[in-house]
Amino acid sequence: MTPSSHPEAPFTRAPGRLPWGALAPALLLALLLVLSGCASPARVAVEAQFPTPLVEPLPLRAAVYYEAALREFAHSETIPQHSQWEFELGQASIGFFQPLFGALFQQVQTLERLPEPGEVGQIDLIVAPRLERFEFDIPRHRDSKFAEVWMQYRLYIYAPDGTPIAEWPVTGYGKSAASGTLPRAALHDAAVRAMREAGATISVKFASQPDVRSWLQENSHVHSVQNGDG
Amino acid sequence: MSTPFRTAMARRRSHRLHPSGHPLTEGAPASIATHGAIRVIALLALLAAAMVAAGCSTAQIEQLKHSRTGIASGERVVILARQHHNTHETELDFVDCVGNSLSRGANGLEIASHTDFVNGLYPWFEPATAPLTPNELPSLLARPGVAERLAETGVRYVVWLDGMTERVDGGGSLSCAVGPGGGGCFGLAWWETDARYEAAIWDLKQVDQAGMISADVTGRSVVPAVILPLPFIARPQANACRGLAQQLQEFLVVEDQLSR
Repeated sequence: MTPSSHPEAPFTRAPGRLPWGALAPALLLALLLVLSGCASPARVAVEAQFPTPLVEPLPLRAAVYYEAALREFAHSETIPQHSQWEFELGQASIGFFQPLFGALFQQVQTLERLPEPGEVGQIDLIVAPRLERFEFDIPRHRDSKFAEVWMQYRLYIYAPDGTPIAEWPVTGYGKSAASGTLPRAALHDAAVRAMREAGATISVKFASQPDVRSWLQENSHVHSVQNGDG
Repeated sequence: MSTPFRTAMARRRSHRLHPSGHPLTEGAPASIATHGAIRVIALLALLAAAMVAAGCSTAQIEQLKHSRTGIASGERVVILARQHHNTHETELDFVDCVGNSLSRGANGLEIASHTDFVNGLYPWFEPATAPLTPNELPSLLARPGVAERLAETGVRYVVWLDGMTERVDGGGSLSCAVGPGGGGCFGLAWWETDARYEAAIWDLKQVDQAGMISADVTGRSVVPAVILPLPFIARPQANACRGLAQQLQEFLVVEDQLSR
């Protein structure tokens, strides 16, 4: 569109006849709102109901420790000359892992802190998840249509005496069709999809991780829950 | 996997549709103030060109049936989008459109919510874990709890939708201006949109693929403007949805629908 202006255009009025006194505060407020909108980051607080995996639980008694860094995980990033973003994933991560571990293990308890060796009885292993990396992208070119999220959890798995059993990095990727310059909803959706993908990997492949598998083989005696002593 | 009953059953349709999906009718809006004979002639010429070129949709629906279908009372259908591609993703509103269209009419089918279905069977229908071919169905059904959960959903047919709608071509120019004596637009802009989708129908009762239906709808939209822009917008995605849903309904409901 090529607009042109003219002093006597029908859509303009003589400056003297405008109620500038009344308009000035409104214009100032609008300007401030625009500027504040540019300056403050767009916030994406991930909230979702994550489904319980339909998998056969491993006959193990697990204790899960959610460290503070996971519970309060937030990510801030500025896309140069575009926008600022703030993500909150802490509560969503807890809400994601609880049903996941609840389905993966036959018994699960939550720990307030990592225990000293021998402090926790009646468990077979300890799992401490951590959210290590979080990356995202939004469509900035004509050809790109998707908001994308890539994240990497790392599961630290210990024996009850504190001996490390395995460290397993698990990635998740999600994308969602985006529109507009600040695609909050699409990023939220992409983050949920990324978490679901990570959860799918954990629930399907946990027992087949080489370190976990060999530990399970070496410690077949810990498969005690089905025998009724758990 | 059962041997296909009949193959290469192809039902083709190719017709020109108005953007609304109805046959093009005469009588275009032409209430434009005249500012001289040349403008009137230019306007009429543009409108005539627009009517010829605008809003045309070419639809091609093809169907391939492998086995007898049919659906009993209490059996449901779930429509799922393929989401594992890097380059594209079947739009969820298209999935909803097909589901809604399938549930309407005299032969309306009972459609299960795709969200409930995928959540209930999590993690087996996620983009990274969902079976890509019907050959993977037996191993999926053998997993603990999966067959039972599927039975609870009442779903007999899984319809996998794959495809997308995209703008494939475009051109022309349209410019607008405002001046002391008024404003207006002049020019002609056009673009072509292609909606190409494929539906793979899996029969969970037969543990096999029942058939496939594909829809390819191309639509050309034109916006001619002499003072006022007159948009003739084609809606190929809506036409693809309607065509695909109609074929799906016949495919699933009519038991002996096999080509001669």
